[in-house]
Amino acid sequence: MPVRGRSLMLMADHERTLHLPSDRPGHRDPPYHSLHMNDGARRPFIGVEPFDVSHGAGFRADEEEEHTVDCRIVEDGGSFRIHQPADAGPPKHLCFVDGVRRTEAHLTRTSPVGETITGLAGAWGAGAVLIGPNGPASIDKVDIGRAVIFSGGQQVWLRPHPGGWRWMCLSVDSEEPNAASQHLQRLMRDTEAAIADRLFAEGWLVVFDGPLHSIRRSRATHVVGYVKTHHRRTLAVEHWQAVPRLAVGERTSLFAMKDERYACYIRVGDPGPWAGPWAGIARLEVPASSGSSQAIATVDRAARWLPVFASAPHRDARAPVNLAPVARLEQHLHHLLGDSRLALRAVREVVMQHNRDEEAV
Amino acid sequence: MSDQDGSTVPDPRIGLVDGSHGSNSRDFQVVLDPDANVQLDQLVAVRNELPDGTNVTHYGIVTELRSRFEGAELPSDTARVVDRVMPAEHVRLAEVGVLRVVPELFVAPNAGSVAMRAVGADRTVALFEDEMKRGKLPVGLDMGGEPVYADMRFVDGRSGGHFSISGISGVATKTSYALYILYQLLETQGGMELLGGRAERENVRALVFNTKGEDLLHLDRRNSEFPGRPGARAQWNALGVGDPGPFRSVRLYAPRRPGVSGTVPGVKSRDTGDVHAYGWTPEQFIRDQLLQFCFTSEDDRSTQVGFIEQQFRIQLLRHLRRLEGGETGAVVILPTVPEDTSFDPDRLAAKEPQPVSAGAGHVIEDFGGFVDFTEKMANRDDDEALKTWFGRTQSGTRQAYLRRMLRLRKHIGPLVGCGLRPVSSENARLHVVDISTLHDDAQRFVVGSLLDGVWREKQGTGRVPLRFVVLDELNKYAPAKGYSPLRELLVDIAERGRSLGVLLVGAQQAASAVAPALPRNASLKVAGRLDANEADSYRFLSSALRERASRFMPGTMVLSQPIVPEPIPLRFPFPPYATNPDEAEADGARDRKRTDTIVSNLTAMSGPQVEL
Repeated sequence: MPVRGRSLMLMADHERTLHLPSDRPGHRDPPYHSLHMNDGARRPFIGVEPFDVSHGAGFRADEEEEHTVDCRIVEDGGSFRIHQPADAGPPKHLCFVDGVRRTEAHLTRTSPVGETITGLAGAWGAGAVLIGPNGPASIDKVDIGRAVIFSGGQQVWLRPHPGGWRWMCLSVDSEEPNAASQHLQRLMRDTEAAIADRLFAEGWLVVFDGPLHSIRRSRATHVVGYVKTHHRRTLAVEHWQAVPRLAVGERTSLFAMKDERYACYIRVGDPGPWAGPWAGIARLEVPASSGSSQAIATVDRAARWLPVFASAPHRDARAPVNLAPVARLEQHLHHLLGDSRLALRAVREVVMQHNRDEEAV
Repeated sequence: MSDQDGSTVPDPRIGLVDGSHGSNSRDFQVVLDPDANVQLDQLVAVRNELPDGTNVTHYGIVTELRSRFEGAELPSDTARVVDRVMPAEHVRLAEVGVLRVVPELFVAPNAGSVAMRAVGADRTVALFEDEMKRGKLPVGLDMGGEPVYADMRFVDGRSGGHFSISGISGVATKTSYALYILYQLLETQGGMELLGGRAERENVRALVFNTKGEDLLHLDRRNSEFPGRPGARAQWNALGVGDPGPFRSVRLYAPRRPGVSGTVPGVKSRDTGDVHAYGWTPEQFIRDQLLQFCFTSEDDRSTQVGFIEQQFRIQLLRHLRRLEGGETGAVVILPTVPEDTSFDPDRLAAKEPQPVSAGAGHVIEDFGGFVDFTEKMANRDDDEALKTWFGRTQSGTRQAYLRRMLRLRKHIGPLVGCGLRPVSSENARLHVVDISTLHDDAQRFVVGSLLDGVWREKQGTGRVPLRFVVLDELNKYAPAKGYSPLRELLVDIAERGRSLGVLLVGAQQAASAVAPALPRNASLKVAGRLDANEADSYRFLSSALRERASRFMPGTMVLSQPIVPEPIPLRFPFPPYATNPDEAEADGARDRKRTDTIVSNLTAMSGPQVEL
């Protein structure tokens, strides 16, 4: 979907800071309800929807909108097998890349003739956990963004808030109800991809939390996609049923997926006797561009060292498949996004100011 | 936010004021920079600009340090971080107690402000040295080896006085610290200036009681271990003492040798010629009213015994006559005195007694004489005499009094006799009085008698010349509970002594065992290693410091002084003077001379001339 409006760069050049009512002693603002009435308005009115924004976060853009397919096995003469690769330690330059996003406010824009389009104010962040040859694992390359996104090609510019909150103004042409949310997801994925690009250019092996299809860079060979959820079948039924037989450190035969990816399943950890058969199974994806032998070498090794990073059940509800470095990175990124209650308050304040400014024009 | 001058050290920055924890006007936390090297007791400065444009600087002292993995939530996460499975940031935090805010504004330092090491001029301000306009006494070195000062106004009695030194025996180095203070005052150039010049210093006297072995009878000798202590000289230099050495102006006293009549001091580790035997003549005993200091045990004052002592003391003064034909101090107690003789002990004591012949009454030449006289009077059948000497007390009370006198004969006996001289305050600045060989009763008698002497001498003379009294085991002389003339005297000194220039350097194992007025009136409170059970009674220390003080190594103390709100831990240097016989450097010249004398005597014995 095309993005209209400002680039991802922050708008540092012509920022104007919002002045809150409290900044002006003696000034008496009209009561809030008078701003809400909008009766006979000549200007469009922005509304911040009152419902809990977390309800809107349930949307899962991660899911590829594909149907079940029987992927072609590209190894072992096309037959399905379980491999037990030789022991291998993690690479010297290993990193995990992941991102988070959050809808902070649902917005509506009502035109003077009563047409309403939807939008959101949201934030995203991405970063990496670097595990180099020396020193502790560290979080690096963190990038945080915050934007107001409206559907229907409408752009609304909100002033920066004195508390430090500021938004890029973006729009999507689509008028689908979740178009803005999908765009937020896209922004996060783009940021992740940009970070991954930089890291494999620097010689790191990147474990990308999620499917590889957002990594478009063809020459990127040092990347492993790590997929935790298995909502659709990728192999023939008899092979699919055999996948849960994997033990920790084993992998299935390599198979080809669309978007020039090779993939295999591994068991990253023992989920415990209470878990279902697919708990602890993850799919590894590698770019097909590097060739199948290179791909096989990569997944062979990864099947052995990835279980080291499996999370412990008492630390993480998504254990063991949610990797410990990734879990910590997500926690850190959420922390950097700031307090969601403060974000919502900031949106309300700047929207109120925005409407007042529009009225005054 | 910070207008650091940074003139003394290239980068004094150590970190930022923690914004996650929050700061307040009394303490704050600093998130340390990765390369910052910070220890406990480090001084810190934080500069801020207030909304009205005022520049304010917080000075503080690091009271605790912490280290943790930020992001690790569970103890087991530590292993994950170390194994590099989980990323986490190692953060180090310093808790800082605010010492001073300049200008004096009660505000909290801003979160995120730069925290710097307080060095140079900042350190001076942090420790209030700029306020010590009437002189500052170097009281030790901080943990970084920099000198720490006490305001002289709180040492010499102008605004306050008295040291109270606490700590458990053996490792708290209480006496050593008291000696260090005396050395700084009495023996150094700086001390002389603080005391107001050479002439003023020559009039200052310090009275030190030696309670352990003959340790302090060697203060005038070099410490043989001093040259082998690397850094000790440099520490003295840092404290302003260029050439540390032994005490130069010292007079030593010991009780006369027991069982020997005469005036030979009972010392083993020193030549008897170096030490003066001390004691009181019977006349001095009566006229100085020292009988009161014979009854200082806990039970003495809870009975009528005290009343008899008072009665007896006054009657001794009334009946006192000097023994004719001698200046030895022997006295004669007349059987009767004229009716109009005064009952005022002070007036009686001031009067020179008339000489009379031995036949005029009961002759007393030593303490035994007092006991005999007491016994004689107690066993008389003469009601009038009993009433005079014992008041209207019951026979049982009189017997109790007598029993106590009999018990004291052995203990106080060597201290009272003809020809003995009391401790004089002449000819030297430091007077060391050995009481280590004496029984508790006798120790209290000596301490009480000498302090009473100092106290009486200073009444009406004003603050200068100063008198310092170093007294260990203060709890023995001024216990927390009970009543005795010695305890009252010490409380009086604690309360009024500073204006009269009698300054107590008291030491005790536990402050709770001492009469509360003593530690309370001490301006400078010092603690060495504390007993963990006792730590509650040291309210001047923060709970963290109390905890820490129970682990102090010998030589580490913490000092609290009135103008600095947080106590400052400090060390003091190894002494250049001997603090026990083993440390004393051999006196080669004297030994040679003595050997020569013996050899020449032996030679002479074989010939006609004998030199004895």
